[in-house]
Parts: sequence; C-alpha cells; structure tokens
Amino acid sequence: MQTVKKLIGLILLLPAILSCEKIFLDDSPENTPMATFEVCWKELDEHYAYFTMKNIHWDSLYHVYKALIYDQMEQYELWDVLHAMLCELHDGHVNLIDGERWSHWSECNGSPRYPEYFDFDLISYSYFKYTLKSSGPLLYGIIDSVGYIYYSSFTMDISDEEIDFVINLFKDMKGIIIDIRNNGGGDSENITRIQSRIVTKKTLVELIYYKTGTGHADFSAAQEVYVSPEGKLQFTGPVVVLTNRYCFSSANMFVSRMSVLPNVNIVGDTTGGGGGKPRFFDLPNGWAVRYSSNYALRPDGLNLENGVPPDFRVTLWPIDKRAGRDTLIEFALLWIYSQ
Amino acid sequence: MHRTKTIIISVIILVFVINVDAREKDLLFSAGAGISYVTIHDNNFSVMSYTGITGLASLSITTETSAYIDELSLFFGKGKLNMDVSSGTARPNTALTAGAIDYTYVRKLKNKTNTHRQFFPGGKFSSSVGFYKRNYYGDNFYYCYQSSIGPALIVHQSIGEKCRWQVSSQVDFSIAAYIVYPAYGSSMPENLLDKELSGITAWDYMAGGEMVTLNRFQRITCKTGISYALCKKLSLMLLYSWDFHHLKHGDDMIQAMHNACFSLILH
Repeated sequence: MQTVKKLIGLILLLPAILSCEKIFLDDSPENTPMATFEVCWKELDEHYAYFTMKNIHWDSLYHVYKALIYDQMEQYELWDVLHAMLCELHDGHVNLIDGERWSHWSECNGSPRYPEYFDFDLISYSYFKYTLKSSGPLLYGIIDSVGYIYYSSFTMDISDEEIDFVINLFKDMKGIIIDIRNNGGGDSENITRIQSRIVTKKTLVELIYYKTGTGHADFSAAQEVYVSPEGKLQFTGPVVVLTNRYCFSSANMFVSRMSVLPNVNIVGDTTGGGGGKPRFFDLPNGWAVRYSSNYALRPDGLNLENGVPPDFRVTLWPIDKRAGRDTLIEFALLWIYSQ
Repeated sequence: MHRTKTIIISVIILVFVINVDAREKDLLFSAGAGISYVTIHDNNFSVMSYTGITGLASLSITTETSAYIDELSLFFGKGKLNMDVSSGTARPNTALTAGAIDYTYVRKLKNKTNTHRQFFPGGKFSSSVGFYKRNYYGDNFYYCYQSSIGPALIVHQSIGEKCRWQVSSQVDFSIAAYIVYPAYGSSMPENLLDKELSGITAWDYMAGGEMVTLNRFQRITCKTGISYALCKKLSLMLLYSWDFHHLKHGDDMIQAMHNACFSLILH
C-alpha cells in the first residue's frame, strides 16, 4: 500500500518536474502585432551594423512606425508596416520572412532601378555559337586566346577539382575574363576557391568588423581576411572581372577582393552592394527578420555596403548589341591584349 | 582564472589518487536508448523557445567497490526542434545534435542504521556539446561546448528482501566551467573576432572559450533510475534525468533536456 501511495505521489509530481525549467525561462513575448513590432525594432536597434554609416535615426523611426500598429490589425497590414520600416535601411540584406514570402529592398518605394548591361544569350551565341562547356557551375569557353568564365551564382558550390580544371585549361591563355554579371551572391567560400587560383602570395583582401555590444557603434577590432595560393596552379596573367549593378552580397565581396590584386581589373558598372553578413532572428508571430550583422571594408577603406566601383566603367552599347558584340567583353579583350 | 584552473586540476588528480584503493571491483557495462524532450531558448537567434522530442543513446562503464563508485558515461542525442509559436509559417527546420562525456566519482558514506539506503557524495566532471542547425536561406549554425566540474550526490535504495529492485538517484551541479559559444553576428567565439580569418583552426575555436563560475553558468542534473536484477549478470534499468544549463552572456542561452532511457546492464 505504501509503495502504491509513493508511486501515485511520483506520478502527480511528474508534471511539475517536466516543467521545472519554466521557472528559469523568460516569458516569451505575446503573439501580438505590438510585441512583434517591438521585438523587430529592438533586434535591429541592438544588432544592425549600418546605422552610423547610413546616418539612420532609428529612434525617430520607432515613433513613426509604432503609431501605425494597433492590436486588431491583420497580419498583412502588420507586414506592410514592418516592411516599410525595414525599407528605411536601404539594404538588400534586410528582409521580412513569412515562410515562402520574403520582403525585399527592391520592392520599396524609391528603390533605384539600373540597367543590366548584360545579355547572356548574345554572349553564348555571338562568341561561342552555343558551345560553352561547364565545369560544375562554371561555364567556360575560349575567345581567340583569352579564356572566358561565366559564374551565375555563388550559391552553386565550386569544387577544387572544377576550378583547377578550368585554370589548367587556361594556363597558356593571354588572359582570363571572369563574368559575374547578375550574380546575386551565395557562399563566400566560393570566393576563396576562385581567388586562391589567381593570387601568387598571401594577400590581405578584406577587413571585417563585428558587433560586440548593443550600441550602434559597438564593433570589434578589424578581423583581417587573407587569401593565399591554393590548388594545382595559379594563373598569373591579366584577369578582368565583368560586373553590373546586380552583383550582390558574395558577388559584391568577390569583386572587392579581386580588385585588390595587381593583375586584375574590374570592368562594367558599380556592383549592387550588400557588405554585411546576413543574420536571421525569429519574431513572436512566427515570422523572421534578416539583417546585416557586421560590416566589411576593402583594405583601402572602401565600405562594401554601397557597392564596388569598377576600374573602367563600361556599359553595353545598343550599337554593339545589335552587331552581336558585348561592349564589356570587347573592352576586356582589348585591355588583355594590351598587357 | 588561475586559481580556478588549479582547483580543477587538483580535484582531477585527487580523484585518480583516491581511485588507487580499489580492491573488490564490480564492473558494470550499460547500454541504453530512449527519448529526450528538449527545450532551447537562445536569445542569440530567437526570442521564442524551441522544443522537440529527440532520440538518445547512452553507454556507460561503472566500477563499484565497497568504498566508492566511479562511472564514465557517454551520451548522444539527435532530433528536430520547432519554434513555440501558434501561428506564422517561417518556422525553420532546426536539427539538434548533442553529445556528452561525464565522469562521476563518489565515495560511500557509512550508514549503520539503514543498510538498504546508501549515500555517495563526490564530484562530477562533464563535457558536452550541443550543435543546432537551422535552415532559412542556407544553413545557420549555433553551438555551445562546455566542460564543467562540481559536486555530486548519489543515493542507492534497495527494495525488497532479495534486493532485486534498486532505486538510484543522483543530483549534481557545476561550480566552474569552460564554455565555448559563438559571438553575436559570427560563428566564431568572441575571442577570435580580431584574429586573422584564414589562420583560425579548430584548436583556436576550442581555445577561444572562457572560464565561468556559478554567477554566469548554472548547470544542474537530476537523475532517478529504477533497476531490476534479472539474474546475477544482467539487470534492466529505466532512467529519467533532467539536465539544465543556463549561460548568462549578452544574450542568455538556456537548454533543458528531460531524458527517459531504457538500459541493459551487464555485470
């Protein structure tokens, strides 16, 4: 009988044991429009990296957008208010996420529109008669005695073998054109994989500053990023990187890092920017916010957030396009032959 | 800092020195499997808690003598967690992988009044790592490694005339720990943020942590198991344990695991 009593006591005690960590857990914020707004604003206030650089008065914006929040508002209305608030950051790495839907800076009022200066179909027909080959995600071909590589997205990983194969194929070429126009970014590991086949010695390519506190100017000392030669061989001849305004994030970073090398020239338009590493944070209503959590500088002090200007600004001329030529490629060929 | 290190090393050495007096040893091997109910609240990436049920496996080697018990146990858990939220569809798929190595050494207290109940005070060294991966747009990784040391108490209670049933309870907490966790906005520990990026090795990660004591890190483990001796060589055990960590830094991190495990014990 005693044992049975103990057993019943133990069973009654079980729910208390199972919830004992709740004593220590902070109360999660309520799932209300106001709580979602407050968490979103505070998270960015404490951890977004570019308030000082962009001279954004986040405290003032709090009052502007808080006035638009009310308890009975629908989710789509809350989405519109938060999206409008995030638009104030002018940052392609800032998004509001609801499962499959992502808000984006390009949907914001006043978001600039730029020409692409790029027609992939023209290139693949006029220069290669649709014979571009692929080594993993890299499309490659030869124009006279210059190697051409097109890389459409840094989200597609390149293996060491794939890049070594292309570099080995182009080792006797007069130069290489690396075309990353319309490359929206991806994994920064792929930057190193390509660049390590171009550098001949360990080279400082970037400085990264991390948030270390909740103040808008609380950053760590610079973390130096070096790239060293890797792989079977390096291409030491002239290299041209072709860019446009639609090179974001890792593609933007790639251009910045390549521009440091003495044998590399950047040709095309200023890149699209996106210099901070994006981070995700959950909101009380089940959405998430993504934002830039650090910032990066080129060793000469250029902030990557607003894009990397080219060494030679070249646009795609309509007259060239009609004649089946890509002005940027033509310029790159001339520069390479002149070296 | 140096004092804490000296205390930890002294305790470890003491444990091994005391261990030499083992005479009549009973060696027990245990293998088990079960489930965990996990709660993670990490303000590093969410104001919401993540909960879920994960699978677990455990292995342990226990040495029992008339004077002491020492136990080396390994634990491995893997599963998926979900955000605690009633609406919204941005719930990321979060995978948790956790592992731990624990070493417990306890001495037997003399108890002349009740031979069925024995108390064993001592200490426990625990090393564990929790690694969680969320997938939003590409993978996001978080981790917390900790090695801690602190006092432990085990109570054995035999039931029945033949003592075939035994209830074993243990409680322990940490007084000092070495913790490695990512800084905000980076996958690296804070001590590595100004170190050259290409030169960072796995060892640098391990060395990038910090010593913390009770005011910043609390870990408590409570276990209760009931075993039944099928024969002299084999026992069955059902074990419930609660493992709780709380790390206080810029953004608090809490991890709680309720584990239920069924084990076979070979004598």
